[in-house]
Amino acid sequence: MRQPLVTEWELLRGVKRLSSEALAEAYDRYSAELYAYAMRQLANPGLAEDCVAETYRRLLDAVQRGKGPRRHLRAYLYRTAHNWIIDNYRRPSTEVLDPANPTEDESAPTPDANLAAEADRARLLVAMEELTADQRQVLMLRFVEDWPLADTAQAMQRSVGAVKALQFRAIQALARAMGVGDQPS
Amino acid sequence: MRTHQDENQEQVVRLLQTLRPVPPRNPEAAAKGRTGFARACQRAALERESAYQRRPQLRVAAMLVGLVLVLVSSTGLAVSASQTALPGDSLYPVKLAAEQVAIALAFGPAARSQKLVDRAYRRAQELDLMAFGGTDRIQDEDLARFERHLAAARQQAHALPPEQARLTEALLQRLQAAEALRQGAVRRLLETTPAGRPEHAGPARDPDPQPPLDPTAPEGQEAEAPGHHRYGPSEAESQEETPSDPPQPPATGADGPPITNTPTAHEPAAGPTAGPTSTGNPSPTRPSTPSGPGAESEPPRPGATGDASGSGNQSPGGP
Repeated sequence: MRQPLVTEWELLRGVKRLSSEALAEAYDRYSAELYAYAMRQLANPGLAEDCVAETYRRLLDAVQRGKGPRRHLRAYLYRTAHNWIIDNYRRPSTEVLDPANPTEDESAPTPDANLAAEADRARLLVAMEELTADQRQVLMLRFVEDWPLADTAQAMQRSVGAVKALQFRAIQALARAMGVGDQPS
Repeated sequence: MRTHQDENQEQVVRLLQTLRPVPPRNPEAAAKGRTGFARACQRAALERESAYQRRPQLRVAAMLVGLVLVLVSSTGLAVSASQTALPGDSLYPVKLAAEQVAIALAFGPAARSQKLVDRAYRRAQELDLMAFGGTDRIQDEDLARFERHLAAARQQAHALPPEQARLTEALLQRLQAAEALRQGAVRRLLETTPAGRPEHAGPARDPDPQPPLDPTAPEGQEAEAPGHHRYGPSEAESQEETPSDPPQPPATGADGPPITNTPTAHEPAAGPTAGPTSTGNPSPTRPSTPSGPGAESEPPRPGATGDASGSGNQSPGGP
């Protein structure tokens, strides 16, 4: 049943036709990375799943209305996920540090050794809250997802130059927020 | 020379990369998400299908309009527009009447046989489409009509001379296929729950439809429609959509308004094969006019050219 891998462009065309194979492929191809992207920012598996579900629902809805991505499916999905995250962004600190939190996934318990790492991560996410949404997004895409500049520009619908400038400012802002180097603004 | 800023940047980037590892995704939750999306896609596909199957609101008035159109049917537009009509649509009587005209004008028993068989097959296709769209759409009258058309076609096929045995064979096979199609439709009718029928109250069908969003569309329908259900939009169909299911009018003994020229309303003669609903292309069924709006020229089917059919438009029937 697995067909040979189609290009993103062909996949998008199939999606726009509401082809069920294309829609299934679009889900299988990108949902895992979208989940990871959401998890990194929300640190909550339930929310991350909601994010993925809602992202694809919005894609389907847009395509049905004749809208949706014109050329880049993946970037569109990330953009949609990002918008959802902005709307639903919550402080992860309490949830991550509390082992008794029921929203934590029971099948992946946090060993004691990882608690310190979790705490650092929570601090980082809290600091990132002081950034603008765009700054957060550029940092996530460039340094956490490891996307090249061109892809990031697509996802953020900006020029490459604008992304570079944004990235620079975002790093400064985050350094400030975390007290890195104790540099005043 | 490394500046403070360079170092800060590196440190920040390192920190960011601690975000990379993600606890493994819960497979059950992942599967649930996938199923949810699959269902939404099926709903989308179903909405697209059911957008073409609506019962008109003003059926009586529409039937009168159909009658007038047929009587004044030198314009083939109404006739060609009725090609994809289903029982219950306002233009369905027009479709039936056009078939009768075409049958009456077929030259020779072979052509007539062919057109009778095509008509029977078309009835089966309509039943198939209706069963797919919703259970309560198929009426007894529709099944009875199928049986009548099937019987007439079979009778005519058997009456062909022995030198046309091959044609007879092909025709009978096609009738068998029609029977099978009908059986499948009826089976689905019995299997699907009554709640299966989607309720829509959208705008009039337009020739280039975007399927409407319908959150009430049923979950229980078989959504992965087989290939031959994927019918394209029909041009020039303008029908009102309605959520209610108006009752069928009492059978008048004829399939639609009578034509002035045909002998009796029942099964007089063969007619040109109207385009099947599967292609969505309205093929002209006007008896004499060579071409007109909506005329599609398709290569005639192998069986259809076995005789000198007089009608200028030789459109193939069947899928």
